Amino acid sequence: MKEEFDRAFEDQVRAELRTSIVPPATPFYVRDRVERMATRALEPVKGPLLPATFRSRFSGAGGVAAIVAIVAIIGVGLAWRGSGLGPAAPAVSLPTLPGTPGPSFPPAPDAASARAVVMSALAPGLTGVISVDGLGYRITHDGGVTWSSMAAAPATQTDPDFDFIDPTHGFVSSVVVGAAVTTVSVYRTTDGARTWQASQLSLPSEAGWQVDAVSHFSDASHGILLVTRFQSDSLKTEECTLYASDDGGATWAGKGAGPCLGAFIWPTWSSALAGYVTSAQDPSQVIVTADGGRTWISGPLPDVSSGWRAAPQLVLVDGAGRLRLLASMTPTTTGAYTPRTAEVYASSDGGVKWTKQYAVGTIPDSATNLLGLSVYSVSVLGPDYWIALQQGSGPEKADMLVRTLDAGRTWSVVPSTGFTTADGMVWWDARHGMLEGMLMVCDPSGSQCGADHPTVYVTDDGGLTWHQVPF
Amino acid sequence: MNESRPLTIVSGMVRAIGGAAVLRRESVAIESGDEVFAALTRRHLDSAYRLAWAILGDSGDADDATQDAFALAWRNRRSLRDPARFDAWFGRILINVCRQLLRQRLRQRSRQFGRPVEVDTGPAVSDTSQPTSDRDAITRAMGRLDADHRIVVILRYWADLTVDEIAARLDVPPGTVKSRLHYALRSMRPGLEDAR
Repeated sequence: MKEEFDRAFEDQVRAELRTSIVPPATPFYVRDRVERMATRALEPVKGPLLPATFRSRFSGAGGVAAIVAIVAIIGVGLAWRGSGLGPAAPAVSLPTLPGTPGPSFPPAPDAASARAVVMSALAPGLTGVISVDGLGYRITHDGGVTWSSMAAAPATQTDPDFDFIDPTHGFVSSVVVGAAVTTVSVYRTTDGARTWQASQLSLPSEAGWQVDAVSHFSDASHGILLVTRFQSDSLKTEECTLYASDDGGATWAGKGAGPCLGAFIWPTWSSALAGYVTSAQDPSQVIVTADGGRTWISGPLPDVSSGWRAAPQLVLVDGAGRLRLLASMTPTTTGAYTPRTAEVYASSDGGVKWTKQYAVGTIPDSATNLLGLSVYSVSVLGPDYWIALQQGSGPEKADMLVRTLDAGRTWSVVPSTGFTTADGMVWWDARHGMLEGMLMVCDPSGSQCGADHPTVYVTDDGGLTWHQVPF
Repeated sequence: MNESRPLTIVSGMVRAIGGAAVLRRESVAIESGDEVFAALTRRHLDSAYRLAWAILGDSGDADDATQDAFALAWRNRRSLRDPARFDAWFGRILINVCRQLLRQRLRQRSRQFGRPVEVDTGPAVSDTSQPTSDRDAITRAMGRLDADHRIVVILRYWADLTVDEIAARLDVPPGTVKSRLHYALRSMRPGLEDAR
């Protein structure tokens, strides 16, 4: 009986997939590119093959023109928006940034040699850590101007999130699954990553169960550790335990159940104290903390239960002590993933009850420009000064740096130069930030260009110019 | 976060996705090795793009994956000793590239930078004849799967490969494929049944 039921469900999945997934024809530029590979291989050797990955939007004979256009678009920024695709957004002047002119950054390396991925960054002292494929971890203490190898990096999992509180105090957690015991480790350094010490939690290993863990420190002494155990064949998280440390990670005490709402739990922090968790299983709920993760409050967002899916982007505590939450809203009644609106909510009771405050602003031509609606990697640089990334739209699809100086009511494009694609970013302060993106590389003739090679950029002028980190 | 991209090229007999049965006949008539290889890449381009698109659910990523896979295939073409096995050989490359892209995208967006987990992970919907709720349900159900589970579902139920064929393509035991399918269906079921 069960077998028949399963087969019926398999048939349903098969039918719906076949109906839903109808790929388009192979684009001409992909066909052209693959044909070029063959042509080059069959011709006498004139030079190396192009890099492996070439984003289609830049391939073809128009590649150079596309790049020039993108640079021009990014370069003129606000002017382009005002004169081209619709009414101009409200004029927003760049904030006056304190300090002296920034240092001279080393020249960008040759494109082919850059292979890097941001792992973690962020500290008042301009300390940050990245990983470089095949080269290990690199650390900076000056906002990315100079880098050095991070010695004695702990043996962690493949994608650790380093958490530096200041130039000397840093933390990272890892999970190592053994045959009998699963060990959760929190490594800490008090000397700028020269040496690391570990505190460990041992759990029995059980077949079919997985363990995940993440730590977060709000200052050099106070931190939390979230440990989740879940069955491999179930999306439901079975156990979620919260631990806390008051001595810089040396000892940990259990604080009871953590903020479990299903699998895929991973807190996103908007500041040292404020963060949120969302669930893939229950999109109507958000869980927030305002005390560095010691306490978590769950509450529904208005409207979410009536056909909308909320994607929180940031949470912060405003001057009046209220929580504010920015969330992109996507209707669940269509197959689209594009947000239709974005709202700012407020809560005066720590996140139990949320009320809608206002819709975030965008320019009227929302079909091609979703400023504010679909931002990601939002960073809080001031109570009302938020900076974020916006996926590019239009044929060039260059990602944009956008910001708001009035808590999301109006957004504008930061006229950045130096990057074209961005996967995420972190900021030390209003001037200094680091961005993970892809390099734009061209073949020797310049006839084909595309985004390839993950790399890292840093800025010291609030995002106006980005410098590729040399490796 | 990014995983390196080493490719383990292992020969294996895997069924074609999209009519590669004529390959053996065609390859006989072609003389040089690179010409054979060029002909094979041309013949497999469309099926490769379709499969990449089905797995990744995004045209831009499918463009990247297809080009990336063929570029890697060209670089490693000397390891293909039997042109008749191009389909199996190239299938592994393509799946590997798609898997890397999926994992990279999911990790970056859901974990490190707080992007919504489901963004861009579902298949694009292009057939408007199907009821919206059904299309949305399958899209969301697929969007909740991680890379490994999504791939086996696509290969099994969209591309109609057998468990053994999927196992050969992924270089995992058949039992692992079954386990992933079981897990995937179990996690998809509530959403799909609720939509009915």
